[in-house]
Amino acid sequence: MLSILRKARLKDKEMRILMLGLDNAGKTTIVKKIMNEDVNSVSPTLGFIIKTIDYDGYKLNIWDVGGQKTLRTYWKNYFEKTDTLIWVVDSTDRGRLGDCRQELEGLLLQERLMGASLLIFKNKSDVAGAMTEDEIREGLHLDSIRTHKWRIMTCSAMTGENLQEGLQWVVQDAKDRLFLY
Amino acid sequence: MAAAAVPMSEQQGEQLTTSEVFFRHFQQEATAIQEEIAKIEDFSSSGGERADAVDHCLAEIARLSNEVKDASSSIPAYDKRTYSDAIKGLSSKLQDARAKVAPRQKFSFKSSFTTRKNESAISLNDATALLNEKRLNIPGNASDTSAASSFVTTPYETQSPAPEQADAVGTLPSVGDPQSQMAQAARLRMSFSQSTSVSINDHADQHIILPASAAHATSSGTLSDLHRCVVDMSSPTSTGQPFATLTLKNISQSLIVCGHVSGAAHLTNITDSIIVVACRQFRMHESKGCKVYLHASGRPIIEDCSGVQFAPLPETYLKEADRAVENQWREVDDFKWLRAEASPNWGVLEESKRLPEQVWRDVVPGGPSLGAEDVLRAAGVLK
Repeated sequence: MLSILRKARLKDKEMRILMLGLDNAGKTTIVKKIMNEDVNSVSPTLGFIIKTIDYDGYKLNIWDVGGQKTLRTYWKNYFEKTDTLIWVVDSTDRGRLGDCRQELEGLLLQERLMGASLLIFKNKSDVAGAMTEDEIREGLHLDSIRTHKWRIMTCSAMTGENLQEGLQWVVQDAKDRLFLY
Repeated sequence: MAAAAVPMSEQQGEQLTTSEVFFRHFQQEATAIQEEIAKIEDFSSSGGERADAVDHCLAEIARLSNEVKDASSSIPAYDKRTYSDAIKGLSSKLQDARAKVAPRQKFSFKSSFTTRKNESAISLNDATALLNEKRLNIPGNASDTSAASSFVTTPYETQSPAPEQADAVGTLPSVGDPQSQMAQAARLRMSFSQSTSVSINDHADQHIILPASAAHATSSGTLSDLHRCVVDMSSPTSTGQPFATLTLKNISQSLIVCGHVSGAAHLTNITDSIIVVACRQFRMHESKGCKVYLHASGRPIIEDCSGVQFAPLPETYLKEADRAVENQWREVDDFKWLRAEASPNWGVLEESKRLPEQVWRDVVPGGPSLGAEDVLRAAGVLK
C-alpha cells in the first residue's frame, strides 16, 4: 500500500527527502548551499526547516530536522512518506563516529523508513585531515546494510562539492524505482 | 551508570517478560564488568597481567554490547538507549582506569588519529633524526640537549611574553628534565610537520601557547581532558588560518582562548572555566559554571547546560573582519528551554564582572613570573 502511494507521488514527480544526522553535521548548510543562500549565518536548527527544490523536473521537498540530542527523539515524527533519507556525517568528527553509527543503525530499523533509499553525505570534506570515504564506510558499518539501497558521497557544503551530484543520485534512484515496481 | 544504579524490580513470583529477563541479565553482567574494571589497578603492570585484564574487560564490554544488539528486537526503544548509555559508561570507565595506571602522557601536538595515515607528518624518530642533524650543522656545538633546545625553542620563562614571537608551545619541564628530549622531539615535530590538525589532550596545570608558526596546522582542533590549564591559540588562528572546526571536551577549571574558528565550535562537558572564542557557530553541551566571551555570526546554542554566562569577545582578540559581522553573542537558544520566558540556564555576564582588557593583554599571555596557576587566579577561575 505504502509503495503504491509512493509510486503515485513519484509519478507526480514529487519526492520527500528527509535529511538527518548528528548536530553540527552540516545539514542546514548543505540545504542552504543547494538553494544558493548565504551559508555564513546558519544557526543550529531549533526544530525543522522544509525547502522545496526543483531538480531535473522533480519537485524535491527536503525536510531538514535539527540533530541536537533533544531533537533526536522527534525524528520519528518525520519518517512517514520519506522517499530518500540523506544521512549527513561530519567527516572531521572522529570522536562521535560511534554515536553517528548508533543513530543511523536505529533509523534503519524503523519500519516507516523501510523502502527509502539512503544517501550518506560525507560532509566537510574540504577540511584537511578529514576522514576518508573508507573510514566512514568502516566506522558506520555501511557494508553490513542490507535493508536499504545506499550510497556514500564525499561532499562539502562550503565549496558545494558533489551536492548537485547527490541530488542527481536521489532523482535517478527514484526513476529506477518507478520502473522496478 | 544509570542502568546499573536502578534497583531491581521485585517481581520474583511473577512471570517475567523477555525484556525484564534481559534487564536483569544486563545488570548482572554490567556489575561484573564494573568490578573487574575496579580491580585493574591491583594487577601488576609487569608480565602483561594488567594488559590482559584490560583486554578481558574490553572483550566483555564488546560481548555485552552485542547481546544488546541481538536482543534489540525485544526491548523497547527507550531501554535500548539506556543500555547503550550504560555500555558507553562502562567503556569510559575502563578508559579512565587505563589512563590512571598508564604512565602520564607527555605533552605533544599530533595530527589527531591521522598520524599513521598522514604521510606529511614527520614521525617521532624522524624528528629526533632531524634534531640530531641540525645539531651537527651548528658549528662547535656540544652535543647536549640545551644546545638543541636553543635552536628549536627556548624554555618559555626566558622568552618575551608576546605570543606572536613565542616559538615555544608552553611552559615545559626544565631542560634538565630527562623527558625533555622527548618533549623537544615532539615540539620539533610540531614545527616541522605539515600536520593538519591540532590536538591537545590530557594535561593538568599547564600553560600552553600555540605558536604563530602552527598556523598551517589549524584546519581542525581538538582539546580534551584538561584540568587547571591555560591554553592560548589566538595567535595562529587570528594572524594565519582560522580553525575550520574546533572541538572542546572534558575541560575543568581552565582558561581556553580558542582564537578564531571559521566553522563551528563544539563544546562538551566544560565546567567552571572561561572560554574565549570567535566562531561562526557556537554549540555548547553538558556544561556548567562557565563564562563564555564570544563572537558568533550565527545564534549560539546550549543543550543540557546550567550556569553559563555570556559576554562579547574582548577587544584584544577582535579582528577587523569581525567588526563587519554582527555579533550574536547574546542571542542564545537553549534546547532544554523551548519557551518564551528567559532560560534559567544562561545569562549575560554583567559588564562589571567581565575581565578588563588589561588582563587579556598582559596577564593571559603569561610571563616569566606568571604560571598557569597565577593566570587562572587573576582570571578568577581559581579562588
